[in-house]
Amino acid sequence: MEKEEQNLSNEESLKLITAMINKAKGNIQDSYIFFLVWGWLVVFACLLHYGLLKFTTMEHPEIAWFILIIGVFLSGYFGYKIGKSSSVKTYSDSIHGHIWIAFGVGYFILIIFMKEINYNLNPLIMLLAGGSTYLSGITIKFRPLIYGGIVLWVAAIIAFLVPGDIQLLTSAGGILLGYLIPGYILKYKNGKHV
Amino acid sequence: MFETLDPLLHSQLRLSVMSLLVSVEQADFVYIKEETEATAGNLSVQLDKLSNAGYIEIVKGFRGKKPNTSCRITKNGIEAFEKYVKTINNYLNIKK
Repeated sequence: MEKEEQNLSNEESLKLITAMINKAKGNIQDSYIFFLVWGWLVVFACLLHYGLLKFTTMEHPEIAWFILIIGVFLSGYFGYKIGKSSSVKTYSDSIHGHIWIAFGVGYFILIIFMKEINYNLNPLIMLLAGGSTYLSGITIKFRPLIYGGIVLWVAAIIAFLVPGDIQLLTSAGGILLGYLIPGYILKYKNGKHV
Repeated sequence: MFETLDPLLHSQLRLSVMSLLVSVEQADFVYIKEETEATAGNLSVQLDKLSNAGYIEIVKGFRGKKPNTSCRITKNGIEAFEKYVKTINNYLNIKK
């Protein structure tokens, strides 16, 4: 009851408002999981595609990319789990979640129709990855992700310029630098906060 | 002349709650209790007052099997909060 009875001066009111607004932070660090899931899946898909292309006579080594569909379901699962366990939902949490849904849908459509673009998935995957990473970084104000997004866009440009097999290695490198490293930095930060 | 400060907002705990809710989409009772360091009983009473005034919306539901209460600020609440901050700013500017 004591809080209720206290009289507030105008200065105290403003200080209180500022302090409470600063407390309202969401659970953005939990989102590292999305970078690790997508990062490892894309790196694995690139290397598997490269391996199938170089060391087997398989007609369509591109099928390696279908493992990304696992990511769509894993993202949905982790998104649901994080949403359910959190006691507060900030606007940036919400926008951040929708960025991942939007780009997840993008990956999904791209993989389903890869035949229509003659299986030239790599530069487009890099473009989508760059977009989601850059926007994530801006939303949660985390610089390593912003730089990661830029790295992925550069990887997309390089991928457009080099032959198919080299594209795969470019993509794996781009994802390692642009997704996985910022993802692990975020995870490390997360660990420190808990 | 100055308008008077909204008495519903000019109280430490209710103002804390409103400041917290204005910055998030929604927050659970437990979260608000932790951040405002209020007792459950007092917080309940103050949330009801804010809800009766139409400043916040209280949604009672379940998380898994546990009952869960979450709150979000309404459009009226945002307007009242903005008006409160503006009035306080006017007071402070005159003092300078």
